[in-house]
Amino acid sequence: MSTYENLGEQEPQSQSSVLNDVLLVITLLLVGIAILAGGLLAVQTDSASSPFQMLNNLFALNNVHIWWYVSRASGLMGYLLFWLSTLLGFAISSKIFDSFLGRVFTYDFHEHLSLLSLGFIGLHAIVLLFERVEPLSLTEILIPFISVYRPFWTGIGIIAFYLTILVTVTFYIRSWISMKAFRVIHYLSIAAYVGALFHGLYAGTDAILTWVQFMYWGTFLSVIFFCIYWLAVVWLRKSEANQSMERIS
Amino acid sequence: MNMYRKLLRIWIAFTSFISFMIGWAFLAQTSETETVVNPNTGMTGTLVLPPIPSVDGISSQNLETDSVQMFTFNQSTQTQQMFAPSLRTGGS
Repeated sequence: MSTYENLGEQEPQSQSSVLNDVLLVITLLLVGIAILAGGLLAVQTDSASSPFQMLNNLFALNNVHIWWYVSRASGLMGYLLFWLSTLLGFAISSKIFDSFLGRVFTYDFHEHLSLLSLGFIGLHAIVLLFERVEPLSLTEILIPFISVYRPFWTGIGIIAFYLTILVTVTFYIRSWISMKAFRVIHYLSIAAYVGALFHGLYAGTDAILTWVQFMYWGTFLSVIFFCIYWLAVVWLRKSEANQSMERIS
Repeated sequence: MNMYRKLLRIWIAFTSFISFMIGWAFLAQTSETETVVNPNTGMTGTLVLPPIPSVDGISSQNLETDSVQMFTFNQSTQTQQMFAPSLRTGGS
């Protein structure tokens, strides 16, 4: 891929084992959570006569609100992936993860997570077309601030989605645009993240839940931390560059 | 892109999808209940929405006109009083 060639770095093989361990731990955690959630849901749901009935009970396939559940789940998933991608974006610029994670991996995750989050956010919007109780039209989904449902915060979410598309596209046209343009467009991702956060907080159905509030504000605080760290690194780099220029002159 | 990186990408996509499915099931199971707060005591409780009554038990025989209770319209014998407010101006 051209982006790796641009980075001019080889894959750090020595860090693969560390990454393997991290992935293994996360996988085990996810499997544990999945087993726990599955067990709880199995206890909660009625005894099913067939696997399809079990799936029907589990995912509420016959429920009138099925697309609303899908939209909420994909919206939360899209936000979490976008948050991770934003953190990795700051990490690439500030090199905060360079001591334990390969720079090429960080860049790869950043790009891949952006694409995944776009997919989930797209799903989040598209399924609302099929919602039976309070459906949104295609124009309401595409054009900001005309939605019947919380128009302002829905509009903010639509604008954040467009900004995310714009920023993600620049991964693939990086060789055609200047580095300065790439960076300026990438700064828009911060606005996109903030827009997505407030869209989730003020247009999201689940924002009233305590754990969702904790999730939103916790992720926001982590982004603030990484942003401040990145700004400090940029400031230090500039001051060092200025000092070296003064010495030369 | 080497195989290791491809596997990582597939792993991330797979775990994201599984997380989404877990979230979907979680929301589908928990959204049927709604938490309510008593304004007097400040205590929270869970309001369980009652199921919608089924119409499966109604057979076609029950829908015959003989068994259906017909509504009768009882005309009110009371005279309707007109409350016309008497508007008076006190003058200026």
